[in-house]
Amino acid sequence: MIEKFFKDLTEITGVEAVILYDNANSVLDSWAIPKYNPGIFTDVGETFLHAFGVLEHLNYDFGEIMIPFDRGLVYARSHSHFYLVIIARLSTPVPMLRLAVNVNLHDFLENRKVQKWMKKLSGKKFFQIKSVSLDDVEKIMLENMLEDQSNG
Amino acid sequence: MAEKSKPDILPDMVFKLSHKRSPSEVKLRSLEWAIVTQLDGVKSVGQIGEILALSWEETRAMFRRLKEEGLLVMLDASAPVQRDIPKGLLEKVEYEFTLHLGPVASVILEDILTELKRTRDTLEPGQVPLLVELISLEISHPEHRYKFEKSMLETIKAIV
Repeated sequence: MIEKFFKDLTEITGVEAVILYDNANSVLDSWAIPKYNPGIFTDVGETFLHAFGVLEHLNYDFGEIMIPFDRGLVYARSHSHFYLVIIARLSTPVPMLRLAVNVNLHDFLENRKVQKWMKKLSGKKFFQIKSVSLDDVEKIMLENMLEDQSNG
Repeated sequence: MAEKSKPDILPDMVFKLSHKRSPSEVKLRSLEWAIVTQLDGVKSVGQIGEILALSWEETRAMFRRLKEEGLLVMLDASAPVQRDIPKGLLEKVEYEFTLHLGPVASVILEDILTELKRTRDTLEPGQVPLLVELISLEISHPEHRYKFEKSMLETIKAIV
């Protein structure tokens, strides 16, 4: 799926991994240079599920997140039914990543098979956080927050 | 009489990340990280400050700290740096932009180049994606914007 629909992205110099997740943090497809162990992708995706889930719940209009780290950067783009994470070298221009994602994502969403397939995916992120990755204490905290919110 | 201090950071200076020390060894604030992500050995201090919407004082203070922490290496101004964009590239950008926006495209292109503190002759290859991004934001019709971006992606993929 990545190599078919996000080929431009994988061809940008400095792009090292492209991962597509559903809203339950499952890796739908991934592409990476050999140094990456695909086992780490679930952990990477969890961070963005949390971030995008909370942003969705708060109705914030944030479609993307970019986080630099010492050896590169992570660029993530959210869609209602999935999210895409790209790991690249620090020298990779973010506008170039954004341009490729804009174009490739448009083609991806226009594809009829993808449209049909997307109907099977959950369209919500926030309420998946709890089932995916929280421990008992975090679950209780989240429930309390939601309770406070509904009472307030 | 106070000694005249030598300015340590100037807007035209160009830095790259040092290989001797990793940014992860230093506790950096988010804006300092943002500067680290912009260091490509091509953009000047002033340009990075502008991209991140920082004042000159903020930019200078953060570059000074990064330099003191040993994270930056100043590039030799005399070192050969690839600064030329392929011939005809800007004309192609302008043509496609005009196709999707209309005759006002040339004026907007010049405005954006001025914002980037560049001219058609001084624009560097690393700045082309940012230029294309800023231009595409001027195209309000989603389908036109997509067509422009698709065409530009094909054009600039090879030079970045």
